[in-house]
Amino acid sequence: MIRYFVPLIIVLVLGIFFWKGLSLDPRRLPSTLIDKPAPTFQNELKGQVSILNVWASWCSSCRQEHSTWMEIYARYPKIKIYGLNYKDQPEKATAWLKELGNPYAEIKADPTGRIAMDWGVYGTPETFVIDKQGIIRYKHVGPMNAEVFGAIILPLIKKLEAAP
Amino acid sequence: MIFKRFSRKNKKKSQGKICFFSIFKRFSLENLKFVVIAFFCFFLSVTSIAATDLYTFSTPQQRARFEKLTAELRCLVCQNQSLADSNAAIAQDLRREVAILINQHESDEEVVKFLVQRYGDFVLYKPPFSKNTYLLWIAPILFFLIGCFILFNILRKRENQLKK
Repeated sequence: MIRYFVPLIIVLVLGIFFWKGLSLDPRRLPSTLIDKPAPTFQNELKGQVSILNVWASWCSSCRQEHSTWMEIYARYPKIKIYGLNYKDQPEKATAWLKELGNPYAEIKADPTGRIAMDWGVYGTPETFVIDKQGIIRYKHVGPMNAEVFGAIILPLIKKLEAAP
Repeated sequence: MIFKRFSRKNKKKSQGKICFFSIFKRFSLENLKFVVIAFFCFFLSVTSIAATDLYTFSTPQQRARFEKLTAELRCLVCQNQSLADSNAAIAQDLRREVAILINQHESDEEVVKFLVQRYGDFVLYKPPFSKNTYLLWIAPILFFLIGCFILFNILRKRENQLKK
């Protein structure tokens, strides 16, 4: 009797895998730097929980997410948001920030993209959460939105701040 | 009767021959231009402007290594293309970095390690055999063996039925 159900069971199991696969985005690569020390800016990043946001003035998705960052900056002024200006020109970057607002505690320039390469950045925007020891704990690829921030980033930051 | 059939066959054959040659007869100067343009387009599509011309290497072996490595590494955004083929900005950056590393006399393994450290196993077309990927490697053989086993069972059952 059971053998008549075997094909059905196989199809159902495969169906579950395919269904799960539909929601996966093949463009999102997992970060290899999770739980590894930040490759650059160790001095700046040690001592507090911080966020590093890789952005550029020419990047339209960065423009999209910027209002989210301004909101986060307004609501949680204690969270240090560092900016990494990726393959950009300082004049354009400053003009962009003047127009849209500046949520960044500090901005580092990366005109060739070499620094971002060490962080495993392959497109903008990308956001990293770094703990007090300067270890990368989370990477978000793509524009930041309130859902991701509220559901993942904020709880993580709170957890990391509570840790020694 | 046979003679008639034979002559009919002959006529058909010769008619066919005339048809075949008449195509060539219709090759006027106009058609020739078309053929020449078609050949030109074909050969143009086959030539490729090598991206390696942008980078200088001290030895031809280094250039060959560069070409080999960039062909074997995957572009991260245009995920169906190799680093050599892709025009994406990140691919250009990574090609430049590979050229720099080769000029600094890093070995092939070190170049690969550099990229895998930052971007993960996804840059490799051949995933390494590790505890994460052993199932990926073994699965085809496993499925084949399962198939053989099922086939064997079916054949055995058939034999038993025949014996009865």
